[in-house]
Amino acid sequence: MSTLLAYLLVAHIILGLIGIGAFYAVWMGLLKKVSKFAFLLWSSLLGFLSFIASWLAGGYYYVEYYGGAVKPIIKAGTYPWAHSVVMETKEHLFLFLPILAALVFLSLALLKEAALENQGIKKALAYIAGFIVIMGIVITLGGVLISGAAR
Amino acid sequence: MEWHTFLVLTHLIGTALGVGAATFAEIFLLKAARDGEIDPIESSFMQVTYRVVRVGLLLLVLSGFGFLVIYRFTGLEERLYSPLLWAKLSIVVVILINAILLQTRRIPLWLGSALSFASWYAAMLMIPLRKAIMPISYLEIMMWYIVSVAVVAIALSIIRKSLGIKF
Repeated sequence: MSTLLAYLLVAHIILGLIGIGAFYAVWMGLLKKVSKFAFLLWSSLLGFLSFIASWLAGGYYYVEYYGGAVKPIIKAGTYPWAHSVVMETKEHLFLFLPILAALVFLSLALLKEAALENQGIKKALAYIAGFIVIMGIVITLGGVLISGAAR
Repeated sequence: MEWHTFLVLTHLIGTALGVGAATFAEIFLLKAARDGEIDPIESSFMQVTYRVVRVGLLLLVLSGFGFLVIYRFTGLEERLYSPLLWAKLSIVVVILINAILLQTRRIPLWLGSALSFASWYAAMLMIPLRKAIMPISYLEIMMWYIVSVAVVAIALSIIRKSLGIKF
């Protein structure tokens, strides 16, 4: 693996974790009775940008390296399901995250404080942020399983 | 400084902050609940403590994943299937979910406190105990973890009763 690809893999992991952390903070913030609008707006922007950057880094790594060098090792190894089930699931779930993250950020950016004053919208945003966090954790654990199978 | 050393230090600092703050969160909660109400000063102390717990958790998670990256790059991928690692990951997820449940009051305070307290200590003790308890399966670790949550819940309940606190 080249140094660039190694950095991209590390960036993919760290940025993904930052994205999950940022949306965990958004989720917690939205569940509070009194939410701080500026904190939620900037956290959701950080999460959204992190997911996009993680998406690009992971996508480049997948296309340039994983498909040709790692996938055959996993499929020929003891845990072929790590690719055929876990990676396939991870790939598809990961497509949703930046879009959902953009939805939360844009709702806050466009509706401003009204998004928090309307309890229905606030609750819906909390559900989406929670879904992002749970999916993010599932994808992260999937990544650990896939990495462990590459031996 | 080598990356591994840096990660070990960060992981230890994160764990120390998390365990310490989770302990003091429980102490402050017991002290605050003694007179039946939580005044603004007590509330501010507890908020700072919870902030320290979050910082500890962040350091723990980031450094933990740093270890996983090192394993991947140094040909130690088999460690990523270690039952201890998966038990620790599960306990960290429990800490995260428990915080949300406490925030939304969807979990009784006595159970949330016991989960937080026992989970942080379990995450800490897994590092020094790993050599002593291996080989062990994931289910065995999680069984011990559930037992420890029950023991902590009972111990905290006895302390609360002796202090005349009801929750």
